[in-house]
Amino acid sequence: MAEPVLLCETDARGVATLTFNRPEVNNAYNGDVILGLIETFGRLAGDGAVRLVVLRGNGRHFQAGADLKWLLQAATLTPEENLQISRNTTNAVRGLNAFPKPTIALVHGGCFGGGTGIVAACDIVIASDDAIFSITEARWGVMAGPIFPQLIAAIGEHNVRRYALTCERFGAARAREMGLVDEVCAPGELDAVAGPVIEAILGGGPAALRETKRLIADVAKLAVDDAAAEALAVQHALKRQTAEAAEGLRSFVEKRSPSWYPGSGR
Amino acid sequence: MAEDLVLTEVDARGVATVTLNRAEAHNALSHDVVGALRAAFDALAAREDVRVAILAARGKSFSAGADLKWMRRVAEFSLAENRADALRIAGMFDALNTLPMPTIAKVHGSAFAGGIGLIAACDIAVGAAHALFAITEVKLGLIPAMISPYVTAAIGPKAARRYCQTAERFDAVEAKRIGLLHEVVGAEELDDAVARIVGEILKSAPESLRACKTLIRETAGPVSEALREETASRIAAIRASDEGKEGLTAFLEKRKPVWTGEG
Repeated sequence: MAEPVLLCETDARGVATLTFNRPEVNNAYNGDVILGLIETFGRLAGDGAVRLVVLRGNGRHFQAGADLKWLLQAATLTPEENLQISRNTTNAVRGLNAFPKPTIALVHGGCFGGGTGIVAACDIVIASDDAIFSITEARWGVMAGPIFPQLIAAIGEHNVRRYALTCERFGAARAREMGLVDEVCAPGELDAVAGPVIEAILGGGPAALRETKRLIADVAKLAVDDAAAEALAVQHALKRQTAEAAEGLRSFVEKRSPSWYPGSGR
Repeated sequence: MAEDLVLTEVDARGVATVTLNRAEAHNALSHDVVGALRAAFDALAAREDVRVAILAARGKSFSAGADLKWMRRVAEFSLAENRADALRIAGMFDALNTLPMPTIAKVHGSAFAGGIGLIAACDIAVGAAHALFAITEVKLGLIPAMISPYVTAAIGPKAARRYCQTAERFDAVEAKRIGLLHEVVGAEELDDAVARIVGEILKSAPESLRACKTLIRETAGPVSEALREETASRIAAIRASDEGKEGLTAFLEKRKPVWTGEG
């Protein structure tokens, strides 16, 4: 039997740990991972024994973003099937953002594309200083739209304008400076740093925490409504089926520069 | 000649550079400079071949904000003339903010008031370590009006509450901390820092970047025409007020203003 793409365990204290488990592809997400996230967060939300959720990645990286081979297949689907993928992607991030219990992301290694959206949608983010972030979608001719609401809430419009338009990589220190990451530690220290944070959350009343989180979202207008989510999904889906996206994804598979790159010119 | 106030160059890769060219006046934003910037931004917006635009400046300063001669004219304006003038400025900032391709502010020297608005309306901002900044309008009895939507989006409401109200000078490190600049480098490293970012942008897909930029703006909450008109109305009212007139007159007469209620 194939390994599950997501692992989920809950300890005796009610700390659920959700682990991306595709280390052979750097935990890149595909359709199964997205549906797994929607299903798992739905289940954990209703499980009275679960007090908080920790997200992490197995292997060398937290999350390498979308599995580009899977995206290449998606580009050949019917428009309706393609749109459904974008709806699921949008709803997975939106659902994580609105998850009623505290969420903590423990980030090591690469965190790219949709991975940055997952981190931005968590309440607390701890990264080891080997973590590398990048909002990579435009590099492949596709869109990062579904994660923009969460990214803008975390690092602000001006920083999204820089990093989504340059697709530059940035480290844990810069991520902390911008507000994407709350704490930075040495590699291997993620659990040690997360321990007191988890303890602190367990000291709070579960209903009080749920109400607090909801109120923060209301005051900061963080919720993405149905119409906004649908608009994000439609734009995301349409962009993936353009000639530009086909060239970007093909250039990845063929390990060459895309046609739009003029060379460094230096 | 008006076209000399702002220079536009586009290289073979589609990298445009718009340069403020009034070094002798610290690139202050005169009536004609605002018009020349607007024309330059409109021309770039119409070009599909431009992949990225850099906003730069010549001389010691990036931009010192409002121009003295223009201020003298403003002091004589009616309320309606004030509002029309303010709307024209708001339109220029909007044209920069909504340029369809990624924009980089290359801040080689100090920037004040409207100069900060130019930086904030760009997508990316890199500055030289010696540059100083201040949002100075309240010292003249005015308000940072047309620039405020872009400044607040860049530095957040908390920092805006401090620096718009105190008009304090702050340095490049603080500008980076509050989000006005993304990166601070030594003056001699500025060309390389901007070239590196341009190189990254050229690796990405042009249509994706344009769609991406539009969507970030829509998601974050675009600066509406209604808000631009509101900022223009507010500056017009302030300029026509006793306090605004005293502030401008005192500035032009190089004396300390006397604020009502001051002992």
